[in-house]
Parts: sequence; C-alpha cells; structure tokens
Amino acid sequence: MPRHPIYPFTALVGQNEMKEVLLLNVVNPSIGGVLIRGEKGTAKSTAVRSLGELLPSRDVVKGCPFHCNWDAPDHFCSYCQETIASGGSLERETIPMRVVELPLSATEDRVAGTLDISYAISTGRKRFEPGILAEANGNILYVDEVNLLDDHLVDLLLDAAAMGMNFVEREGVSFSHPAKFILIGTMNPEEGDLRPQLLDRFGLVVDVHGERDPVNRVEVIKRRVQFESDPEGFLNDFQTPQEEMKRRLIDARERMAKARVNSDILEAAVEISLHLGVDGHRADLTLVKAAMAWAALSGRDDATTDDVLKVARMALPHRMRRQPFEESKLDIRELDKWLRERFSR
Amino acid sequence: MVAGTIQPLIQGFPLPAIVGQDMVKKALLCILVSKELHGVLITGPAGTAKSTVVRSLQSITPDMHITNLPLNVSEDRLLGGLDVDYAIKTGKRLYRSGILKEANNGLLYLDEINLFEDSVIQTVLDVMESGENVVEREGVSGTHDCNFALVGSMDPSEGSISPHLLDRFDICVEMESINDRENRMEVLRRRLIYEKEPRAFVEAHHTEVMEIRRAVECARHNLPSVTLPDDFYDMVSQLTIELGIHGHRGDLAMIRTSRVLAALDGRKIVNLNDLHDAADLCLQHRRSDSLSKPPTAAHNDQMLDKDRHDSEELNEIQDMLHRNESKSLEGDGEKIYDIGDTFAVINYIKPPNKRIALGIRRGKRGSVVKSGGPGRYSSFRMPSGKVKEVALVPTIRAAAPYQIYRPKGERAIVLEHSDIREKVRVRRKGTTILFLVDASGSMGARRRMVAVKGAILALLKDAYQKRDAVGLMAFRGDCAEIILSPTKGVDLAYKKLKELPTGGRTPLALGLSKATEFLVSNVNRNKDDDRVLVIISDGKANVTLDGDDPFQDALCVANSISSLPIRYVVVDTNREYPRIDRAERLSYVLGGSYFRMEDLEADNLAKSIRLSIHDQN
Repeated sequence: MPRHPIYPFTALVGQNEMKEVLLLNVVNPSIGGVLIRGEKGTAKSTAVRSLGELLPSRDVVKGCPFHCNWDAPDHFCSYCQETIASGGSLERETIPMRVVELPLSATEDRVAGTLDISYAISTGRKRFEPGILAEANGNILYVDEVNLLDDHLVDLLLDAAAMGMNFVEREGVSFSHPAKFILIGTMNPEEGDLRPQLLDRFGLVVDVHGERDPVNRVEVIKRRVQFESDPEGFLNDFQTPQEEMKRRLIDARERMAKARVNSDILEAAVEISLHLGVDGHRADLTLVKAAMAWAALSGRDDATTDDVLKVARMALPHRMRRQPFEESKLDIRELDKWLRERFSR
Repeated sequence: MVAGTIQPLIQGFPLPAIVGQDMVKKALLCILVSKELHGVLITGPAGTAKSTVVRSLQSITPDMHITNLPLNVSEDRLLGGLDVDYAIKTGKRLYRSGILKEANNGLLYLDEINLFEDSVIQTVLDVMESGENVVEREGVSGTHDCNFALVGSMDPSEGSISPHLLDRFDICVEMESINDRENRMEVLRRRLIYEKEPRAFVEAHHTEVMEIRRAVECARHNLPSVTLPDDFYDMVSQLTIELGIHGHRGDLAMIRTSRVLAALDGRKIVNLNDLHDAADLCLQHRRSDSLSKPPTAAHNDQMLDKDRHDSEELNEIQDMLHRNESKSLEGDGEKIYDIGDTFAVINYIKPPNKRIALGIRRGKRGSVVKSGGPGRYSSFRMPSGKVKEVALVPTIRAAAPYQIYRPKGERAIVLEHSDIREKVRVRRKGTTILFLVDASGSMGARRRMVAVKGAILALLKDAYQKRDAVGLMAFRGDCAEIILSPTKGVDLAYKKLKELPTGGRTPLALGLSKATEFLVSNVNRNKDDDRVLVIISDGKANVTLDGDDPFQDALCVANSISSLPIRYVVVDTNREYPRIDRAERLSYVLGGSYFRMEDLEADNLAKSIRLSIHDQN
C-alpha cells in the first residue's frame, strides 16, 4: 500500500465522462489510452491517480525488470528469452497493475533507460539500467501536462507507443525491451496544443469542465475536506463501492475477452469515419474496441450501434482535423441525428 | 555483456493481409529485390499502416534483418566507436561496430524520419550511397561494408524533410486513403482478428506470403538480365525535363525502378507499364510541389465566382450597416473577412548574419548548441574552462584505454582530469514571430483581406511545423493592439485571425513602434530566442504620430528600430498596378527582407510547371 492515502475513485463527484473513459481503458487496454483536457482543478490528476486502486492484478515473469507478461511469451524481453534458451525456467508472479508517472522534468536517459553507471564503474562492464518506459510496461503511463512535455521526450514516447517496444541505442548501450503501456495524459488546452502525432496515439479524448451544479459543487468540497481531515475513515466509508467497482471491472474484462465482433458495429464505425472524413484507421478501430468495452462495462455481451454512438464523442474529436488549422468539425448533435437516421432500420 | 537486440519472435501483420496500398507494396518489394535502389520513403497521415507495412516485410525476406533506428540514436552507436571493454582489459584501442554494421545486408528503417536530426539522415544516406562505413573517431578507425535497403516513413503534417534529403530517396510513395466502405470494414475486421489471434491469422496467410517470397527471390535472380528498350531512355529524360526535375537522380531512379518492376513481374524486358509505375514512384517527390496538394480547379472557380458576385455589393451593404457602429475617426466600415486559400510557404526568414559567439555554436536553423542548461543531450566534447555537466559515459570511454596503466587499488576504473568530457545539449531555439497586420480599410478593398488572411494562415502553419511561437498584432484606426500574445497554441491564433476585423485608417508608424516595443519588452524570457517581426501591409500609411507626412513618419520609426536585434520581414499585400514601392522602401530602411504576398507561395513555381504540362497533353 502506498504511504500517502489516495482519494478513492468512486468518491469522485460528477465528471462521469472522464470516469467512463478511464474505466473503458481498464476493461480493454488496447483502446490506446486517453487524453483528458480541461482547466485546472477539475480533478483530472486525482482521477487518474485514484484509478490505480481499481486496477486488476496481472501475471508476470517473476524477477523480470520489465515485468514481462506471463501470457505473451512472444513478447518476452531478451533476459527472459535467454533464460528459456539456456534451458532455465521462469516463475510466475501475480502483481497489481499500477500507474507509473512520467514527470515533465524527466531526462531522456531516465525515460528510455541508460548505461548502469555504478555497475560500469565498479566492474568495468556494461549493463542496461531500465528507465521509466521499462517500469511502464504492462502498466498505465501517466503524463501530467502532457502538452508541456519536451519534444525529444515526446519523440521517445511516440517511438515506444508505436512499436510496443523501447529501443535504446545510446552511449554504447544497445538494448530493446517490451514497453506496452496505456498512455494517459492530462492537459490544460490554454497552455498550448499537442502535436498531432501524439494526439493520434491517444485512443480516446475527453473534455472536462468544472462542476456547475451547486449541489454537486458543495458535495465535492465536503468530501475533499472529509478526506483530508480523516483519510482512513473516508477510505473505510468507500470500501464497499470500491470493491463493487473492482468486481464490475473484472467481470467486464472477462466479458470483453469472450466478446465477438459483430458486423453491425463494424459497419457503424466505418460509416462514421467515412461520414466525417477521418484519415487513418485508428478511429475505426478505437470506435469498435471502445464500443465493445462499453457494452461489457454495462454488463452486456454484444455491442450495438448505440454503444458506438456512445463512444463516438470520445473517439473522434481529436481525429477530426486533417490540418492543424482547420477547425474541428465534430458536431455531436449533427452526428447523433445522422447516425439515428442512418441506422434506424 | 548482456545488451543485445531481441530477435523478433513477434508475429508481424502479414503483407498480403494489408488491404489496398498496391503502390506502397510495389515500392517496398522493389527495394527488397535490389540494393541498388536508394531508399524508399513512405508518406501518409497517422494511422494508415505505414510502419505495419514496413514491418510486414520481415516475413517476405527472412534473410534480411529489419533494423529499427531509434530517434534518439547517438553517433557512437550509429557508426561504431571505441570498444570500451577491450580497451579496459588490454589498454589497446579497437573499433567496435554500431547499428550500421548490424544493418549490413538488411533493411534499415527510420520511422518518423522527419523527426530525426538532418545530420543523422545525412550520415545514413551517405553510407548507403557509398556502400561503406568509414569511421575515424575516439582514436579508432574502422571500415566495414555497409549495404542496406533504406526505408523511411513520415506524416507530412508534422513537417517534411529538407528537399535535398528528399531528393536522395529513389522512391517516394504515398499511402492511399481507403474511402470505400467495404474495404474499410475489411481493414478493420482483419486488424481485429489479428489482434485476437495473431498466430492463427499469420498461419492463414502463409501461402500468400510464400508466393511473394518466391517472386522476390526470382526477381533477384533475374534482375541482372532485365533490359530496357533503347528508346525508353529518351522517354525518361524527356519526361523529367517536362516535369522540370533538376539533377539526374530522378532519371536514374526511374530506370533502376522500372527494371526491378519488370523483374518482379517475371519479365526480362521493361514495358511501358513498368515505366509508368516507375514514374509514379520516382518522380512525384522531385517535383517542387511534392507533398502539397494542388488546389482543385473547382475550388478556384468557386473563389472567383464569389469574388465577382457577392463581394462588391455585399461589402457595400455591410459597409453601410457597420458605419453607424464604427468608432473609427473616418467612420470607415469594419468587417470581418473569411480566411482565403493557404499554401506552402517558402523559407522566408533568412538566418541572421553570422555572429559566432564563444561557447555557442549555431546548429541547423532554429537550434542552439551548448553545454549545460535544458535541451537534448546530443553529443560530448572536451571541456574548455569550467566543466558544466560531465558526460559520464564518454568520460569512461576516454579513460578506458589507460586503465591498464593506472594504479587502481579496489576500483575498476580510474578517471583522471584529462578524461573528463562534458555534455553538449541541443535545444531547439525558440523563434518568436510577431505578425503585425495592417487591418485598415484599404486592406479590405476588393476583398484583399481574404487573401491576406490566407497568407497569414499559411505563415502560421509554417510556424507551427517549425514549432515557433506566434503572436498577432493589428493596427487600424488610431491604435495598434496586441490580439494574441506569442503562444505555441496556434489554434488560438487561428481563431483570433478568423475574428480579426478590418476597417479604419492606417497608423503604420504607431504599429511599428508598438510592435517592436512589445517584442523587446515581453519576449525577454530567453536570450537565445530569435525574434522576428513580420509586417503585412500595403504601406499606405495615413495616420501620423506627430503631424508629418504619415509615410515619412513610418520610415523614421523604421530607421530607429532597425538596429534592434529583431529580424524584419515585410510582406507587401499591394496587388495593384503600377506597384507602389512603399512597402519595399519600408523594408529597405528596416534592413529586412521584402516579399510580395504571392512570392511567399512555394507552390507558384510548381503551378506554372503544372500548367505547361497540361498544355502539352
């Protein structure tokens, strides 16, 4: 358990869309992460950090610095591969998935990993020292204020996100290891934009606003004060909803694993992309995956076109722009109307 | 040594399972067949399977290893350098090869090639063309054969690579966007099946993969005996001349490619189809308008139509409507014009006079090279004076050969002062560009502001790709105000530009002094930053500061600000004949560069070439 108590996810007031988007990614990590845009003080970071408590556990190779996924031997790191090749056996370990933070001030060598200097000095030999991307493998990688991240760090992230691998070719170190992570970023759009390439890497996007309902506003403050004055008691109060949420997530993940793709939602996804003139295929893919995850989260086996519509507003806004300057053309109401007409057969 | 590359056990997406993209597939098979082809560049928007298609090549030629070049590659790993382990053990210097050696007889892949430093691309291209890697660094020399197939991919919306690097790629091919419903669903279906059951999916396409593999092997075998009919050589040079392609790389690339295409098709003689495809693959990017789409004729007509019918009458009506609300002295109308066509921009900001200060070396345009401070750690050097930041690894490398001679005691490595190396960091130097826009009534005449806004948008786009900060100041009536403080959030700039009203008189002198004042006082955060003032006006000043002739007044101000460390660019929006040379005179006094608005358009040259081609057909 972490030393600092973490505000429980289920105690967050309002911000439903943000919560949904985060949960969808837990249900189906291949959705490709989420970008949360909004003003300061809208509980963006709190939500992401609190998500850590709800994450399921996962099976990994014991002692592996990259926490290789036990169920994906094809993606094992070179250490694990060597162990197998030399006839050794690997052990399984179950550890919780967690949120790994990438601080803005991180240096390139800490992110990608570098030569283990102390080992080199004391032994005169080279060894790879894993960085944040290694830690992030199989976990959530969280970048607060992602739009302020230095260009060369963004490039590193892009490389890793594209390949699911981190390649380090620096300072006499030549190393690569699996780096598959759910990328979660938060940003305040007033402070500048995100590069389109990085933007496209985020599966879903959600815009958050401060809570406007006065009743809810009061509730937000009340809970916060309560949490700060008596964290343990507060956590206790929310133990039941937290447990429930965990169970719901596990159930949804199992459902997701069994779910089958139906042509209806494929067609809906493609129709939407064509209608809006989206370029690449990531939008289509994300629409389908997110719709299926949403169905699973709602306790249903089969996704419908309604589910596609539900997630369209999260999967499309950031992919609408073909050019950096053309205004985003996504009009949810128009899309909604069009979809209903199109699919009301 | 534990370090090593992972052999990809990962099952890649099979090439034949990729829907469509025939030209891209052709281009890539070509480079697998012949190492004589110098590089394939794939362009296309994000998420169009650029890297998937490249990685799928591994299953086609298992004998060729695909080496991925990471963006942050350092020189010693790319080229090779001192073998540190050996040096420590024996005290002797020995060359240890780098990635280029690993790529020998394989395929070298640069994903997002437009994000690499030019020097890295340059090095890779040089080695590819010479077929040999010659290293002289860290006191070692080494040479090895280096033959590899080069493939790069990029998303042009993030900026392109420089034209001379582009020209060195034999083939440049664009990913087609799939806009057909059935095909798009098929793309999606296959991807989902692959993600769920990668092994089964790869199995299912095994036969097709084997067929392609055989075709490639056959083509390799037959290529030496493929011939080109004599008259085809003439046709090739004819074509390149007609397209206005400089240099001979295009011709050579076309001939080489057409031969490989014939071989892939199982023929020994090149036919017209091959030539046609080869032209498509090899010549597009050599035309000066490459990567930018020509505006469609229909669109142009539309613009013209609009101009003819609506503008004059509509403007007058709007003028009347607005007259009452306007606060300007003359009661001039205030209007908001749309944004006109944008275009690719020439490199209009010239580098400043060479001022080489100690400790700071200028890198490629827009970057500062120095030690200490923020930025990307790019290389190291011998420190001169006080060491700011020790580069530990290069220091150890420098010390390695002497270890055997130094008394060590318990330690494995002993460092001496002469071993110390310091880090060199490259920081992309910020450029702050302030656009000073003349928003007076004269700019509204004949809807000129529409074109001006289009031009500004093009400049903003350019600034975005170079990651400059942009600000917007407008002058009209009797004031000059900042509309947008310099920001990198260019979307905001777009909005402000869209809302920018026009109308009133032209206080040019005031605009100039306010703008420079702003640049000097507010953009002081970083001394290294370049400051550029882009003045967009027709120069027809008619408001003075102190009652003299308005234009003389402006020239006076210009003279007094010309010595500031700001670079000036004057964009003349005047399109009337005879030309009034006011804007030009202004730029002369400022010591800046002068452009007519239409000169900024990188496309202009290309357009006239295109027209001449159409005439001949």
